[in-house]
Amino acid sequence: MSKSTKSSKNQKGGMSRRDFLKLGATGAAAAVAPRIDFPAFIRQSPMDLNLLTWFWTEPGRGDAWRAMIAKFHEEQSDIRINEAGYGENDYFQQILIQARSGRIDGDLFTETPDGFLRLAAAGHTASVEDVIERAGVTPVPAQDMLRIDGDLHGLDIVTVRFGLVYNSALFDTAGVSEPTDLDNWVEIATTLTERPNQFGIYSPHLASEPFTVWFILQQWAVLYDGIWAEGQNPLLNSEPVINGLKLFKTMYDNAMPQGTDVGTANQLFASSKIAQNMVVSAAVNQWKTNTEDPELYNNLRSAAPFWPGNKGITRIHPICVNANTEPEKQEAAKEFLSWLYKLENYQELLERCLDVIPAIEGGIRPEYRETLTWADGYDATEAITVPEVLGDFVLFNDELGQVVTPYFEEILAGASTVEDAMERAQVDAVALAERVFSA
Amino acid sequence: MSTMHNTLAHTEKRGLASPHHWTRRIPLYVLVILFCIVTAFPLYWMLVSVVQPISMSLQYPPPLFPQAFTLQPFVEIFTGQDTAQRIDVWILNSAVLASITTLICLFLSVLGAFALSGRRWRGQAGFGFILLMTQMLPEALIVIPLYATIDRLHMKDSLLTLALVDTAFVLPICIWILKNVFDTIPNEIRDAALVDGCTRMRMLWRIMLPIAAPGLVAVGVVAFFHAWNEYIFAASLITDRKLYTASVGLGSMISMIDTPIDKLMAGGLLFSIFPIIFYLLVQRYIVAGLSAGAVKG
Amino acid sequence: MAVQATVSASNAVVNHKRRDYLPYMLVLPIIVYEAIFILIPILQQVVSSFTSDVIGIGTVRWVGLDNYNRLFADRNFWNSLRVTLAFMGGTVILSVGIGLLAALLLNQNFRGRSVARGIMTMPWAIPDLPAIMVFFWILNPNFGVINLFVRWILPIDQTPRWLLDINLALPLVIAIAAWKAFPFYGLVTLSVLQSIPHDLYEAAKVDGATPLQSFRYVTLPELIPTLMLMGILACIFAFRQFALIFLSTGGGPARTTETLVISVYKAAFNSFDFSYGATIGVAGFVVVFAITVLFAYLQRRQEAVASS
Repeated sequence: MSKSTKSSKNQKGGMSRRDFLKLGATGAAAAVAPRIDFPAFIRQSPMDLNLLTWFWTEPGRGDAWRAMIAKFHEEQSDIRINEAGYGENDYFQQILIQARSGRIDGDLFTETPDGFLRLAAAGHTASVEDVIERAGVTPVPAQDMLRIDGDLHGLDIVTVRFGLVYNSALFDTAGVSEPTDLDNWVEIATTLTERPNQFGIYSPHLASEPFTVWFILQQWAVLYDGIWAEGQNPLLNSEPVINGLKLFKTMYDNAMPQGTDVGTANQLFASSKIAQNMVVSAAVNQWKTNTEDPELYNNLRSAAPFWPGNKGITRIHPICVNANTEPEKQEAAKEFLSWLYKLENYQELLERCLDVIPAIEGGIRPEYRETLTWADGYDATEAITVPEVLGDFVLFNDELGQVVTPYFEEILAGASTVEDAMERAQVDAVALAERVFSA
Repeated sequence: MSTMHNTLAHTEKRGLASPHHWTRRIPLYVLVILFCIVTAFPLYWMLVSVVQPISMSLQYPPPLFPQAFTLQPFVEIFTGQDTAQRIDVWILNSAVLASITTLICLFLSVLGAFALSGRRWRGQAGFGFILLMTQMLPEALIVIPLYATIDRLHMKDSLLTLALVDTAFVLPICIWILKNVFDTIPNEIRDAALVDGCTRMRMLWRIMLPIAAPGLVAVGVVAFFHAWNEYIFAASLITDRKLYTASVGLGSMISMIDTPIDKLMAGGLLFSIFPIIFYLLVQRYIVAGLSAGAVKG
Repeated sequence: MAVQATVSASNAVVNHKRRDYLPYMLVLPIIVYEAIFILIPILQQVVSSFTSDVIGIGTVRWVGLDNYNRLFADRNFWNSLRVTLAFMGGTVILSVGIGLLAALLLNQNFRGRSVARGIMTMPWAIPDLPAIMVFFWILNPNFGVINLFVRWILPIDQTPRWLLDINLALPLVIAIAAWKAFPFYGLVTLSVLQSIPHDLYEAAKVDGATPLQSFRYVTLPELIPTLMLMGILACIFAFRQFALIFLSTGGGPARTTETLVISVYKAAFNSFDFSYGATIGVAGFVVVFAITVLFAYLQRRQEAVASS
């Protein structure tokens, strides 16, 4: 039954589409011109664009995007943005199944940094270079990672950075302050732990959440100023990686609620049963509206970097225009993006999402930034991008993660030493490199 | 029909014929009660975790009985600002999907079971074998080529398509159950109808289906549960958030960093309650249906 | 009896005269249906296992037996095969066994029997995701209620880490799968039990048989064909079990619960190596196929013994 409505929609779209194409042919002028006199029937049948993203199901971010799109619909009636996509837990797989079948089934889609590189290489992303001009903004240098042959193929729509979020009320009660170095950090985490109902720190470690584990584990090697691969050479048995995993194991044994999934751990954090969380800045949003403890959000702080190198992995998530849809749809998608990337709209989106790292120059209003009491540590942390941390494996991030996580589980279970496990992991990673890079 | 009555009659008679003294039955009762507790405990625990504020469940020792009462997560999953993220919409979609699946499955399994149950024909064993073979490859593998095909046919984002896919997977087992039920119908009854001048299809419709009614219920329940529970195909074939089934909807609440575990639990409870109620309503037909299937004709 | 014989004979005559097309017409839609949704996709996957089809690495191309060579040299494949067999064996024995036990209990006559039947068969109705969520909490090493129960029964302070324990993860996953699966087998068994003529038990009693003996000589022979058939089904279902394992352990820790189906999923959806996923899938297919044939053979032999 939904099929019939869909096909009738397509027919309607078919009429307007041809005319829209003509308009598109007159070039960017059509998009830049403030008012275009569309024929009446086009106004009645706006162009529908499907925006594929996992944001819709994210508590705070979903509402922020819905509000922005409502605003967009209010300001014009030629383009309608429809919600589409999947929950974050299998968004990336589903997009790849779609890509595998020929084309992604959406006009706009969001991706992770590594997912983006993979899809861009396979020709799924259109250049959005002109959107920047139309919006009249300057992207920050970090966005250069989204350039293919010099052209931007995606626009960063949320940047997250790793850092240590902590509950200052628990710190005060225990009489401790921000860690000064890694050894001191272990002491503090241990002091903050009072089993069975209070834990010093949480970091994901369950085999049932391999992506989350790998995504956050990467930061633990960066704490020793290490990286996981250089070019095509994996560095799994390098000293910083081994030290990072040893540190994790120490924390795991002394201060973590073992066997707890991320969702439950966040709940424990919200009930002040976990003192610290090694997590990305975007996660803080979920604690803003906490019904059980309204004070929690105000007590959140992020620690100033206290580890060698002071670096935090910074992940930029682009929104892309599907290169494999009709040209007029791509044109309309860019039209939407130019609107979204206008400075005041971008600022509004950033604020609604409670984000802290802007993707364009001047993207964050100082008045807003001052209200974020928890963001100082994140700001003080130096950025290191995913390609810098993973080398050429950035294109095979999940594969590398799959090599690492089983050995990591072995380490946590105490079944082998870090050195021994990572020695074997390195062998597997070299084999992986041979397979994926030789082709 | 008569066979079934006999079965029931036997059971009744057995009860009357063996008047055990109640003390001798204590071990039996203990065993049954233990069995029930172990089986039902997870369900009870789900209920306890959902009705009390979640932080009370997340402590040691966990209270064995609810210490407080809240409906907050339920209120939230029913009144989200995001209209697509509402459990009532998901459950309705799941109910539609499961009902369509059940209907298609009933229709096709009657055809298949009738073919397998009647006189022998060339290729009968082969047909049975093909049915068994369809069950031997994991869904995760079939979803890739199937997605491509369905996308080419522009049949995505439709509960009907999903019902067709779900039916394909559960049909073989349904045919197997129903074939056993048909096998119990004595040949005399079939032959008598044919001698009376019935066509075979008419005989199937007028004589066999009424006798096999409990079997049809059993098949219906198996199909319904399958569609209600199914995740892999629903997740890849439905992108329109208004069409999310409950399994996909709940799955979509799981994210890397901010899964709302209390709402997920509440949703999970509602997701479980409907099939349980449905099952309790029809369970006496299920045993009768399977029982008819087990009796050798 | 005589009438029936005549009718059958006349039918046989009809059969000789013209071919009976009805069964073919009945099964044709089903075959077409299964072909579209399952059989053709299976064939496509078999073909795919001879190609290299990885998103992000080149285009799809023919590689002959490369994937199979890789498979046989892959430690993780052999590990998955072992885990699969252990999981299948454990789940089949446990779920069919507990199902049998439940059926024997429910076949007794006692007050509240229908309530007990409702409760004992309820896990069948609970969908996978909520079931796993609650087991996850029950088995949490910190606040899981299981720690409380274990400390009641055993004089220990340090409880194991349950699903995180390399030696416990697989048995626990098997137990969860059996909890979810036994009601179906129990119901089928119960229906067989209820169809065993009561006279047989009476006769056994007259002969002085103990309850155990009457189970051995009256009940079991009646049950065996059904148990065999359920064994086949249980094997296939256990082989295909995905959601429970994926959601509870994701195949870990350290691959101790990584069955072939989990490997297939990981290869195809986490490594985007569709062709290698297909290769593992085909290998798994061969394994289940072999087990099914073995069961079918045992069943036929058993029938032959029974009828002689």
